[in-house]
Amino acid sequence: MKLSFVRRLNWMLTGVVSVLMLVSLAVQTTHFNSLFRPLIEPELARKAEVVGAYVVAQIDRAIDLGIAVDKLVGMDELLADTLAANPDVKYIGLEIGGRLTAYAGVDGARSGERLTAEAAPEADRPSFIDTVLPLESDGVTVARLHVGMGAGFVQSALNEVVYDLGSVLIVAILLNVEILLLVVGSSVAAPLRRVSAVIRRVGEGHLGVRVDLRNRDEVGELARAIDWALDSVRHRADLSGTEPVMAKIGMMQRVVELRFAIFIFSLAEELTRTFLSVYIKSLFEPVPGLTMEMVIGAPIALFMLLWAVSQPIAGSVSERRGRRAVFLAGALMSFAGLVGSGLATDLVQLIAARCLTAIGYASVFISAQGFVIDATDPKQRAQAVAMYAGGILSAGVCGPAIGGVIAGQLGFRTTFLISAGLALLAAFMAWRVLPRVQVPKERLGRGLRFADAMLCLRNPRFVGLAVFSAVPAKLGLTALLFFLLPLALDDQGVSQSWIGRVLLLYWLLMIFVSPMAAKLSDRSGQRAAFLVAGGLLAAAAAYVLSLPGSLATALGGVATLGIAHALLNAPQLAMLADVCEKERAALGETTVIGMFRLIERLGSVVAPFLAGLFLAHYGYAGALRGIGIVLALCVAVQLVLGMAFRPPPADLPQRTPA
Amino acid sequence: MSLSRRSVLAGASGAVLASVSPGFAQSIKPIAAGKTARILVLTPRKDVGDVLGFRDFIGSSGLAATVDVREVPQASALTGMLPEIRAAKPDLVVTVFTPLTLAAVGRYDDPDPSRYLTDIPVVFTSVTDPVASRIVRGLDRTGRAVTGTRHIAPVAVQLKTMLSYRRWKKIAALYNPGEDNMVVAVRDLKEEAQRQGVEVLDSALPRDAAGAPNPAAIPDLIADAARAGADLVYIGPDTLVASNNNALVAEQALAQKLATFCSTELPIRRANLLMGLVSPAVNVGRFAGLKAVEILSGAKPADGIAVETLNRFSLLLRIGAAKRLDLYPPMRLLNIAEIVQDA
Repeated sequence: MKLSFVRRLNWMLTGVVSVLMLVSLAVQTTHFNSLFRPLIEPELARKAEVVGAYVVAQIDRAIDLGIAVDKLVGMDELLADTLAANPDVKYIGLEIGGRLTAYAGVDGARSGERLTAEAAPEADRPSFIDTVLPLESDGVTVARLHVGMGAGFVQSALNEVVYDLGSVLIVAILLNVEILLLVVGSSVAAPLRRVSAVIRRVGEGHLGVRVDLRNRDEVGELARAIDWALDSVRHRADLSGTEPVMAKIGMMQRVVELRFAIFIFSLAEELTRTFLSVYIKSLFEPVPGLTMEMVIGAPIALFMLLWAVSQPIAGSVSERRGRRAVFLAGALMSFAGLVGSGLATDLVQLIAARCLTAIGYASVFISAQGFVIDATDPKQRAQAVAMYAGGILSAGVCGPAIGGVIAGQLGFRTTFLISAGLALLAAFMAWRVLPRVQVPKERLGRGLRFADAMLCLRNPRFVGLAVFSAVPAKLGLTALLFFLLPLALDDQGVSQSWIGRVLLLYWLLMIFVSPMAAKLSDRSGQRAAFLVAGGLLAAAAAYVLSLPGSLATALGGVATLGIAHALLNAPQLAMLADVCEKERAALGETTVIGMFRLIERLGSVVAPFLAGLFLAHYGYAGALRGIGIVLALCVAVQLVLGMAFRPPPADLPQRTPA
Repeated sequence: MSLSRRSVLAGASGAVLASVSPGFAQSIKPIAAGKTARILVLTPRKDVGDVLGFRDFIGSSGLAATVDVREVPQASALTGMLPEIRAAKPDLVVTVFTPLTLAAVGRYDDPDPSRYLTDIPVVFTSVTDPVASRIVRGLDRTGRAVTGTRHIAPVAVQLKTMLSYRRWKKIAALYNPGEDNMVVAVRDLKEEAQRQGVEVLDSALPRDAAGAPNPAAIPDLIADAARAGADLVYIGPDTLVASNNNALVAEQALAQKLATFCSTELPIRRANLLMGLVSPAVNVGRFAGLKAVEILSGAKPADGIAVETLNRFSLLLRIGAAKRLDLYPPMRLLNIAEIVQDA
């Protein structure tokens, strides 16, 4: 379904909100400079004085003993000792007559024997705050002790705030979209579309239809006016007998509302993304015979495994028991699992809680997807599913960014509890939105059967696509982004906020590049080329991530991975339709896609173990590179399979080798 | 041992003992009711810190005791005094420094009642290396009714202290080869210095025609050491060199622009030496007092008390000497040192 109204409104509002946020960002930043800097800087100078006074007292003693200030020995060591005890001091220098005779600290503050830090106190942005303490002998100042605090301390604190606000800006824009979709989509666009549909039916001569909206707003008024007009016309024309009820239109409204519930629910999962592996590590206890890296990989791997396994089961249960019941049960299970994760005191408890969460997630997503498919007719379905998936994607962007900030401020456990609250909120929304009665079933794909799987797996091109393109994509995502990178960055002392910003970049690129890649691959028809390019790019991303240089390389690598996966996303599905024509005919499209998705998830299951294994043996850089090599090998196998089993040209029967 | 802040160094050893003594004041009973213990102290000079510390400790311990101090300037004279000492029937004898201790009790493996005290418990103080001097069998188990206190920092710590002043290349060890403990001390210093890559010049006093070590050679030895490229003169716990000729050593070293280090307190307090790493003699004497009280009160038998050293040492620096040498201490050392002012 097209929401042109929403789209226009969205652009306008987003534009306004962005401008306002940017203005407020700019105002805040200048205020930080004019308001907080004068407050912080004297505080730093006072600290410098305390540190300096300690050194001065020692030098004074030497002077009192009759040692001339230029005869002092071992001053460099004394200053280095003091510096080591006060890590926020950037330098300490002893200056006699303009010459530095002793110095400890950063190189940037001096040039040769001169202190450059104090040279330009009027400069716009001094990099150091220099505090001077005089040293006296018989009432005459014989030397001066300089203590430098980093002015960058203020600046970096300000930058953190600006970056946080920037993340919040992106999140706000996406939330804006979500809320617009919810409000306009369900209260304006969908009802208006129903009105148009009814009027069109009336134009076809069916006077018995009614709009039947209960909205208590202008659109509702319009609907009631039309119903009244129709009733009145019908009454005058004295037409009796009712037309068949137009179904499905109320359902579309609900799909829009469900998207918001799914967005909130996905947010619950994504909030914990930046620190999950770090949190697991903090609960680590040695298990005999297993390395630490393998053990901390276990909760993530088990989570992915249970998710993959319970998804088809929950899907078939939801077909029998109703989407609503399974969604609610899943959301409540996730709630309990997230609370449990937040309160876990050891790894076993955490694993149990994560397993519960995994089953909950699988139930929620499969039943929501089932509902969207039920509620739409085949023509609308692709768009409806895309819209529903959009909610999950924007949660992917918002979650780590917000989660990083929350985790940094309130701690890991509190963030889990907030996630649990979101899961509960999603359950409440679904309880309001999803219909109590089971929707009459259309033709649905059969449940997955072993024989179906064998049929698909006998097709080497399907195997090439699923096992060597889709699996490595999931493997790369889970191993690199969900497991190794948060651990590696945390190990390097990168803040949770920054880890959140890094992960955000991936989803942002997915959102923006995916549609472009889809268009390009459709236009060119070179799907295999896209898959190879995406696969190689993902391997390259792993290599970039393994390079030293923490934040810059992390951003570069994650951006590369985002583009790589954006290239894979649409072409994979399109390719699936091409390679599985026979299977689609035999099993139905839904089953083939379900099979594909199930196999794909194996990548997520294997990823933590593989990454843990590499990590234990080769360290962070080695593990990242190792994953890159695995990804590159998969591309190679995929290429070989693609070459070996070329689709037979349509007009020429395949010749058997002589 | 580590060099920590000066206040700790100066205060700790005394504080430990001070906190020990009141406890004893209550538990101590005189050896026999109404009887006061008689302690005889044998020392080269009455005014050494060991004797002051010992008297002070006994006085404040609550033990009923009389302390009789006798000056014995020459250790060799002690054998002749034995009948007189035995006649005085002391309950405990205290000996100060290695030579007098050795003269009083002899070697543990050669006890001769006619020449040494064997029937009276003896507590010695400021003995460098009682095991190497064969006064006791071992530090923990002395093997006889003799125990006491040592006053010298381990040689590795001494060398570390010297090297933290400057990275000396060559150290001249000036000592009396007639004193066994000094022969051992210099051997240990050489071994440790080799590990640290420092050369040690052996400046043993030559013997005169009668075979006695000759202190008159000290100026020549120091001048030779300076010519041989030494930076520092080391004097150990040596009675002839450190106790009796410290002023001569100090002045000659200053004249040759050589730094000086000593391992005992008296020389640096008296003469113009540059630095010393020492156990303050008063504290060593107090520690000996503690051991005497343990024996006299019957708390422990004399052969069951370990020979111990105080585990904190004071770094003494004489700024006057540093000025004359134009060789000032590094700030780190200055911060933990006790400064000895020129008189």
